[in-house]
This record gives sequence, structure tokens and C-alpha cells, in this order.
Amino acid sequence: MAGGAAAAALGATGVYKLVEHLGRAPRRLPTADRAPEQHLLHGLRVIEDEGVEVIVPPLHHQLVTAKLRVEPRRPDLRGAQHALEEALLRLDEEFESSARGLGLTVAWGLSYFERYVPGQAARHLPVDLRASSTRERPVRALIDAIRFPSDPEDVLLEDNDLAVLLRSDEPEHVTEGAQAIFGELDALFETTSIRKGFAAGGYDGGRSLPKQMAVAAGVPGADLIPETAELFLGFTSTQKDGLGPLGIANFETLGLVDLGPRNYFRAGTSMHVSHILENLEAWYLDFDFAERVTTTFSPERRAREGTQTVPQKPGAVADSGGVVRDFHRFGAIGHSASIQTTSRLQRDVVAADGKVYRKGTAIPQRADFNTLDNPFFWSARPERDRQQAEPAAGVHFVVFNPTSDDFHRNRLAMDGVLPDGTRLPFEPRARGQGLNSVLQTTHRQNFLVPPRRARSFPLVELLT
Amino acid sequence: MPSPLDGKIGGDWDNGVSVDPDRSYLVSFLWHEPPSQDVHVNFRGYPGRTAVPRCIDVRTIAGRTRRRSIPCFSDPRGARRLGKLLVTVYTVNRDADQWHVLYAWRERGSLYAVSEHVAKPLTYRRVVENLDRLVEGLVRIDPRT
Repeated sequence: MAGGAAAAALGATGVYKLVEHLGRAPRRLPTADRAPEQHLLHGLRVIEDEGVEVIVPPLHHQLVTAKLRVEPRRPDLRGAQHALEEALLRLDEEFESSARGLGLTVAWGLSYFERYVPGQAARHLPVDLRASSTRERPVRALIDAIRFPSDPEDVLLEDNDLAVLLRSDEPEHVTEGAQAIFGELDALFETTSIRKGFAAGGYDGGRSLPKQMAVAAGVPGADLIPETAELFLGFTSTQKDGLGPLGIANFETLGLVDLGPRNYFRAGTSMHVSHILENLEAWYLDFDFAERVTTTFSPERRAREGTQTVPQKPGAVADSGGVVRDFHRFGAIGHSASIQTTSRLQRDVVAADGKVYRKGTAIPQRADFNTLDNPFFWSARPERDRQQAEPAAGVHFVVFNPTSDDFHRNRLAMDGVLPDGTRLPFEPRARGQGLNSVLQTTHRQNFLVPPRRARSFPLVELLT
Repeated sequence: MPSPLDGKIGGDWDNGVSVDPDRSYLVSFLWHEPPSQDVHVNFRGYPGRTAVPRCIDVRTIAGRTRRRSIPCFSDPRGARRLGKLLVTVYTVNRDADQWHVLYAWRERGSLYAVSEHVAKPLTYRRVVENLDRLVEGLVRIDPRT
């Protein structure tokens, strides 16, 4: 029953019916196809907005989570691996791996590795060297999500076996991709949630997709969103300088992990997924423009009234000392500034392939998108997920970091827990904590994204 | 007035009248339904001055209280003509107008304002409609004393 409902929901549009008419696909560049990484999206257009280079994200996004129906037996798993890879190869043949085609990322949860391939996982899952050193015991690059200080008490820490992220400028590509995996292979997968959303669309002067969708859905505060805002909160978040360059979040790039005896997961990464409700009325009625700037960026940041795209130059990144000084001087920290203490390189780094990443370079590769899901478009467990029928403004926060712990460090810094051990004494969601006061996280989970060659049931071929 | 408010000073929804030493005044009407539904309208006047007033923002963080002077009305969203009045729409306001949309205008050397709280059951859009209607319907009454 739930499987049938999930299959129907994969192609359903609901509140997103309008999105197919509102979102015009932007011009895209030809793409270098089939990189070893499946989390990278090539060919994204870079434009200049308010004098700042901005990467234009795909318009349409969907993330589907599932538990496996497969028994943990070698023949069953080998068959499932073959079936999934066949389905993915068919999609590869149909769509190029780009925003104008289909960006497809298959990620696996800790529950998959522990239940289905425990011995192989113990041997081949990357080990996070930095986290292991800090905790004085081995810590894998994939660990369970945690509840952060500013999260509500009832945030749900999920245990899905896998998640598939689909991204495209064309909504039908996303639908076809989701159907090909979760519709056609429903004997393998018990879909647990479907999460949909959108981003951008306002760079060429028209109303942005988030603005149009929020107004059409009538969510509180929609009328207050700036006309061309890339995201509900009114600021561009895909400044080129604010996003990790391609490949930096790979396990191997910054030397943060031990890849194990066969480098099985080289060109893979970790992925964090969360759903966050955004209180737009609080944001636009209780924070004036100047405070929206200081709380989003840093307490000393100034911007001309109405600015949406604020520079995020590598040479101007914050460090822990600066954030502590901000706290003592203003009783506040900036969202970007606090995160930069862990999300930007604090020194030049020579990567495994000899490439030099300069101090101040961003590490996380973000793939977040706005949503009207509340909290999901569809849930197999509506009571547990506290599923609501009415749309709500929010974000499905999807980000790739070299390890789960690396994301945790970023997120803790956002709460005033800095990498040098300083804990700024904020109350949870205090106004001085910037954005946190208008955000409410409902769900979290960490995943491992294997390289493309191992994307289907990773490690199963090593079962004996 | 937005239902159920009736605009009667001393009536069922009278939320108080206050006059400061500088002669500025606040007349407030409130309907409240627990736990969180409000219809709240404020009328303000600042006789003899036209500048946006200043408010004191007070925050206590980690045991330290900080005070700073800020405009009571901010984030202007353009000017609109309603009847004979040219009003400026402010969306971020302080003190008794916090979370209100506020329309302010200058007339005969004085500043006047009307605001309404954006709270359930009202949306921002509905509050703007209410304020449009309310301001267009205002009738000037000259003081008798």
C-alpha cells in the first residue's frame, strides 16, 4: 500500500504543480560528463550578480530516501546491485550528468553498511584521521548525525539505508529519474520519504522561483521575500567564492581520511541531509535589513539596502578569534563568519594530486534547496515525521563535506562552538546566534556517497 | 477597523491610551484569543515633529545587557498614496509596534502612524489590506483643548 502511494507521489506535483510553468531553464554550458565523482555537477553557469560571481544552481531538486527490502544474503544483494546499476546506466544513457540533463547522486546510510556489509565496511570505510586524533579512538568518515545545541529537543535523527538526490533544470528529468529507481525497483526499495524543492531562477531579472512558489502557496511572509531572491531568506548563497571548488570535498583531497587498503571509496564523499523550517515572518518583520546582513554574514558587515549578493572573498574569512571578539563586542555572531572558522581552509593545503588550495578556500559543496514540504512531500511514516498537509517555507539542506565530522564541526561553529574549543554562551536559538533564531530543524541524517563506480550497493561485490 | 475591533476608546477592545511628556501619543486596540491569536492596531501621533522616533533596543546575552538606539520604524517598503495621504510602509518596527506593519505619514508638521500586528489569524497580505482600508477611512479631528 505504502509502496503504491510512494510510487504515485514520485511523479505527483501537488503544491509544485506551478513550478513546471514558472521555472525557465537557464542557458547551460556543455558538460564534461561522467566524472569519477557522482556528487559533482559539471557545467553550472557562472554569472555576475551585483559584481559578485555566482554559480547558478539547478532549478528542480528531489531527494528520495528508502530502506532496503533485500535480505542480507550475498545472492540477493548481488542481484540488487546488478538491478540498480542497470537502472542507473540506463539513466546515464538518457541524460548527461549536468543541470540540463540529470544530476544523480546515490548515497548510503550507516544502517546499510552495518546490516548488509559489516565485515567489508569495517575494512574499507574511510577513517577520519582528524576526528580519530581528537577523540583518541578510530572514527569513521561516516558517523551518525547528532542533535546540535540549537536543534529542537525532538529533532529526528534518521536511519535510512539510502538516499538519492536528483537535480535538473527540467522537472520531468527529475521525475523520470526517481521513477526509474524507486518506481521500477520497488521490490528492492521501501521508499520512506520524498522531498522536493527548487532554487534560483531570478538572475535574469524576473521573479525568482522561491518568491513565485512561496507567494503561490501563500506561506506566511511570502510577500516579504525580495522579488529576485535566490532563496527564501533573501540572500544569494551560491557565490563562487563561498562554495568548495570541484573535488575539494572528496575523501582523499585534503588528507583528512585514511582510505583503507584498497582506496575503495576514493572520489567519494560524505553527505549531510536535514530539513529546516524557516520562519519568514520572523525574519522579515523582526530583523531589519541591516540586521539581516549582520546576522547572515558578520556583525561588522554593511551592505547597501536591498543587496542580495554579498561578496564572500577567500581573503576576508573569519577566524575563531574574530568571532569571539564579535561576541564580546556585539553580543552576536554572524552565520557565515562563525561557520567560516571551520568551513574555510585556515592555511594553504597541497592536495593528494598536487593541486594547491589556498587559505580561505571553502570546503563544503552545498546542494541545498528551498522547499514547501512540511516536512516532506510524502512520508511513509507521517506520524513519526509529523507530516502536515499545509505548505511551509523551509530548506532541504544537502551538503557534501570530506567527512561527517567535518560537517559537524561546521554546524557546531554555527552554534558558537568553535574549533579552538571556545563555547560562546548562547541560549539555544538566541537572537545573537544569527539565523538560528528563525530556523527549526526537523530531521537529520549523514550518508556516504561512493564514487560513481561503486554507487550501487557498495562493497557487495566483496562479499564472500 | 479590522473585525472585531471597533475603535472605541473605553470600549471592549480598548488596549490603552498613553501620552508622553513630549505630547506624542499611542492609542491601542487589541483582541486576543489564547494561545496566540491577535488583532492589534496602534495609532500614533508625534505633534510638532516629523522625524522617525528612536527606540532603545535592549538585549541581555551571557549576562551582559546591551542597549542601543535604533529607529522605531525601519525597513521602508516604498511610499503609497491612500486618499489624500502619502504613506510610507515600514515592515520592521519596535516597542508596541513589534511584528506590526506600520504606515507613517507627515501632515502639517507632525508625524502620524497606524500599525497592525501580523499574527494569526491574519497574514501580512491581509494586514496590508486592512491598513489600506483603515488609512483611507481616517477622518481628521482637530483637538478641542
